Amino acid sequence: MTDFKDRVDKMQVKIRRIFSFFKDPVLLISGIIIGLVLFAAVFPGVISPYGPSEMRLTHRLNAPGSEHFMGTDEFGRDTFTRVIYGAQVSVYVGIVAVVLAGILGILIGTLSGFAGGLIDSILMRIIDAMLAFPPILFALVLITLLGPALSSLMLTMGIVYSPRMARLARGCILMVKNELYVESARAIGASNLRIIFRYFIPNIINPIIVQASLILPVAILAEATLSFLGLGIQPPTPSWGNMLSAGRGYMEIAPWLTIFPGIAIALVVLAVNFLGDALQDWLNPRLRFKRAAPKK
Amino acid sequence: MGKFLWQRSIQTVITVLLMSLIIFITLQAIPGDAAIIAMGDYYGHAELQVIRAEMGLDRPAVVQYGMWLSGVLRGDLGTSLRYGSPIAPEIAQRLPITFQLTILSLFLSVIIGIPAGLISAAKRGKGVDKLVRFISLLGISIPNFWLGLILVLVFALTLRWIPAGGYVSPGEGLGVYFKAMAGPTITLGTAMMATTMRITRAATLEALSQDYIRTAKAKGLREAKVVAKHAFKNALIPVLTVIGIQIGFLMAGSIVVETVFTLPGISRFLIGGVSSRDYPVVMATVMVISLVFLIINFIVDVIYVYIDPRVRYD
Repeated sequence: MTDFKDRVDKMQVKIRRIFSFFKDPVLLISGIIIGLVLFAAVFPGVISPYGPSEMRLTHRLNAPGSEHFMGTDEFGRDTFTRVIYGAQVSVYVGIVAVVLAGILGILIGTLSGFAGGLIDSILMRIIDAMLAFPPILFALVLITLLGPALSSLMLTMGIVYSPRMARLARGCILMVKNELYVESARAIGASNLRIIFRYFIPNIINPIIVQASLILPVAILAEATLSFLGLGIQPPTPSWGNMLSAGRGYMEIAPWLTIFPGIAIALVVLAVNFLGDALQDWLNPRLRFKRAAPKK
Repeated sequence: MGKFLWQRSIQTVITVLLMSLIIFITLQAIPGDAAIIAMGDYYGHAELQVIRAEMGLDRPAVVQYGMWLSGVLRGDLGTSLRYGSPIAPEIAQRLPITFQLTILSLFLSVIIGIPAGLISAAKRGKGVDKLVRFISLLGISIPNFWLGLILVLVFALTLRWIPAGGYVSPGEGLGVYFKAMAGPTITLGTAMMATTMRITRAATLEALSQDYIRTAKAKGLREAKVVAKHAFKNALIPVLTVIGIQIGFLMAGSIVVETVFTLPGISRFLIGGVSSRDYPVVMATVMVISLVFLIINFIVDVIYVYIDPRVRYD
């Protein structure tokens, strides 16, 4: 019976933790923004009144109004619709980049930390060199190689942000490696693979999630930047970056083409940053219990 | 100090070499080699072989890397595939423009960021503090290319205070020069200004909580003097470190800003190289920017040791 009560108590703590997360109005708004963007990315057709490439030549460069809430572009395409579809690219690239960086980073970091010795030295020198110069430069080198396209953009971001993940994973592994419980697991004959999955991965997962929350907004911004420079998503596929780039030519007569996609980028990056900060506190065990401990 | 300088220099050289190797290997993997890109669509097999031999592309990759490296050491950064002209003079002409932009942005961010951060820390929790923190948060979150576009929209196209783009040399009059550089400088400097504000605020608050501040206050010193002299001096080290790191990123940020304001700096040269897959240009510009980045980091590290004698990298 007490066992059951314990479980209920634990569950209550968990639920409270989730709710306490959104007590802060800023976090609530950020959460709503992210929710909307995710919804827009998954079901763009539901929200948007037109098709992303639907041209109405009689409605070229219309100012924002009742028919076109954010105006239209030089081909008479609805800006609001394109902003909605642009969310898809941002979310897609951002998430794939983070996941890819995570997988690559964990693989390299685990290998490096686990193997030690020469392999570790070589891998870490390469990682250091990659971290030594600004990510955007490295991204540009990779784009030169792969050519501008959605797939190469995702691959590029994944590679560019993997060194940070690798460093982190390696650090955690080195910390856990000499723990007594790993030693005892080894003593009872656990395989390397079992040790990695049973002891290493669970130990590095929290810091990796925090790092991912830091990389996500940077990756979204980088996608927009590269697309703006004409090196990312190519028109007619709408991305916030390439919309801004196209809108530049009409800035004097159609400023809305410059304003709305930019607001979308800034809002999403801001919201992700806020949530990331909160997530960091939340996953930090020292702060966690202060926040959501049940009152006795 | 001598030993530290020596170690740090070797470390920097190794990083540069590794970096150049990473870039070289990556660009080696481009499908279709430089000879094909240089010749365009019209070539015969025999001609291609001749060009390849001329460019040294028929030799093993290691030899090619060695050739490239020895060229760099002699100041020869290769030849553009697209224009057929040597790259080094082009970079020499463009680099000063990027430097000017970087230095102006740095200046802007420091003269506004540090005082704002100090005031914010001194008036913690008050209206000024909230305002400064809000502005700095905005500065960090707004993508700089969008900020640039908005500045163009408002100050160039609507109010007509500044030109919408282009470069004017300072020789043609300082007024015109600063007008032309105002947009790019604010665009590039804003994010760094925000970071400087935040770090100054945090470091000053940290310093203000120390015992020696209580002592200073107990002596009866004025609040302003306590903040400006006792707290700020001790807060300076983290602030300088962050500024040092940021200078390198200003160079990277210029890639976008130069595009928005059509400044003929080195970054635009790089973007042009990337879009036309002119890989000698990409290789050379990325190397030069990275090198500047590393040299700046090196200098910052040395200054750091100089200011804070407790730090010795052994």
